[in-house]
Amino acid sequence: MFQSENILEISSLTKAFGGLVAIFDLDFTVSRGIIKAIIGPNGAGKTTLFNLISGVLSSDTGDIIFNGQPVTKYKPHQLAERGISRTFQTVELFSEMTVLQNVMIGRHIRTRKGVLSVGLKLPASRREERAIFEKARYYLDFVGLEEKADQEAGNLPLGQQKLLEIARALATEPKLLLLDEPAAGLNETETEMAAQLFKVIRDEGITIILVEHDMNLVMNVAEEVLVLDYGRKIADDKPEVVRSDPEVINAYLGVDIEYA
Amino acid sequence: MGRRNLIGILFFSIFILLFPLVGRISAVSHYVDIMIFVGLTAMITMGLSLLMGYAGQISLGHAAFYGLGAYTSGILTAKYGINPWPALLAGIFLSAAVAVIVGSPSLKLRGHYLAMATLAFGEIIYIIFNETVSLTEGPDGFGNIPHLSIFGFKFESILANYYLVWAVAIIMLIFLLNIIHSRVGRALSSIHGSEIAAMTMGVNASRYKIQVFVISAAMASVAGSLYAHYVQFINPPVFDLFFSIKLLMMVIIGGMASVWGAIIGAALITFLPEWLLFLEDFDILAYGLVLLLIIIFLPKGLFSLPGILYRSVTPRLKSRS
Ligand SMILES: Nc1ncnc2c1ncn2[C@@H]1O[C@H](COP(=O)(O)OP(=O)(O)OP(=O)(O)O)[C@@H](O)[C@H]1O
Ligand SMILES: [Mg+2]
Repeated sequence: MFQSENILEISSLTKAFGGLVAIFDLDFTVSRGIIKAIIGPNGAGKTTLFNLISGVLSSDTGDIIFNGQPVTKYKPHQLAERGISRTFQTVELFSEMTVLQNVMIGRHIRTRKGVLSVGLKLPASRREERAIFEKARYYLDFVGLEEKADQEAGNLPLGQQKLLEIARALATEPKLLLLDEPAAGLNETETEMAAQLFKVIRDEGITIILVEHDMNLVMNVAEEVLVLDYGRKIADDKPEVVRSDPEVINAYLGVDIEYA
Repeated sequence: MGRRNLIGILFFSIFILLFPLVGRISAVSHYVDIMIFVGLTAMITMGLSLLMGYAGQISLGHAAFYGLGAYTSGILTAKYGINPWPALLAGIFLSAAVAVIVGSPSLKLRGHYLAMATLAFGEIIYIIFNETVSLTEGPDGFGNIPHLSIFGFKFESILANYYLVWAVAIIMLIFLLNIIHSRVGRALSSIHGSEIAAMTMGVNASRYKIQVFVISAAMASVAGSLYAHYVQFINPPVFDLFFSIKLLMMVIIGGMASVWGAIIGAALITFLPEWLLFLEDFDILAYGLVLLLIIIFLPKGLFSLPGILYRSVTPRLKSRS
């Protein structure tokens, strides 16, 4: 099959909430197999952009092409099926379920058995359940949470909840992974480990878009950086180019004390 | 489905097996008969608890599905001489088909459209039972419905019907517990945990809501068919809106997200009139009072009581040792 070089192509994307334009006439692309960071001041529209790409919100105008296919009006479950998965800025776990069950939900889109089959416990559905369990354990292991498998997800410390969200997203076997501030609330060692994890995920062939305020992390892992301000693109380039862009410094970096 | 449920089913089956021994005590010998109605009612409330507790939807039409099963079985067997088993299947298919038609449009929307759609549906069915006299004999109802039989054995006695009804109810219980502990059950619970995360994990909520609704309707229909063959007579008032509301009460009293609770709720409300005979027509007030007390003091239903007691006792035990 023909594989376009870009996993994601966005053109003239606009989204307004009433009078507030959160994303305005945005164009950008993401090449396959890289880590691309999206940065910008609070309220720049980064989370809104993720909501548009993952189908949680639908855009007012513009086009989204994922993996060579127009997916602009797709529903979240259709996008998940085609290979877009995400985490959330404010952790969105199934907090009353166990850690393992959370990851098992990630297998939902890759499994098929319906209500009759599981109710009657037909052999095929038992096999599928077994496979869900094993894959879920694999991804839990992958992020290093295997020992927490049977704990209630809501009881994990924040850093582990963020890892769990990543495991759950990976369990859907995405081609594109959207991470919304995965390092917020993590300490320095945790952030360092997260950076390593992102690189491993990328090396497995999964493209990552990373929204992050931690500039060290961004400069460490990202191959490209898109800078948003008031819903508009003000820069989109290699990290070292972006960090010396005067407009970027003016809009964002210059006032960001997190940048060291 | 987990060890706790397996053990639960084991003990519950033993309880059901031995319960008819109370029939030997003359003061409560009719309890076996009442337990048949508890079993029939539990078939409906278990499905409803899945619908309410997991799919977050309310149905005010389950008495009507109960009625569809009863009338399909009654009419086909008593008036057309059809074998009761295919008649029962016909009831299931009819109820399931109607559930798809009533449920699909409203379950694709958010909010409680299903409650309104099923309210209207229940009323329409009730009118049909009363008005299509040539088929249903209208308000008078009709009798002569044969008992069920299998391999020459006729389910005639109270005891035979008791075991038949509870065997079916326990099979349904296992079926529902299997669903709850599967990808479908997890998908349904995930919607409660975080709707936005469930969505992006690819959980198609409306699809499962419809499936649960259809299954609960089919189970109510089976209960109706068994009712018709046991009582051998059916008339409309059994399947009215008040019974639909009582079913909801049972589910809430038992604890919404628990099929076990749904059985307890069905038992309590079915036995209540027996214990409140002295109240005569005021029993509706007693229902209201019970519901109120439980909502205030046990918001998660009667089924949460053992856990609450356990937790309030264990710290004391620990401090003693
Ligand atoms: N559902 C919504 N309804 C109304 N306004 C919204 C909604 N979501 C976001 N906004 C507004 O859109 C703008 C962009 O918000 P967004 O959350 O996308 O910013 P962000 O770049 O992710 O910010 P942060 O760095 O604080 O996470 C903000 O002004 C926000 O208040
Ligand atoms: Mg944000």
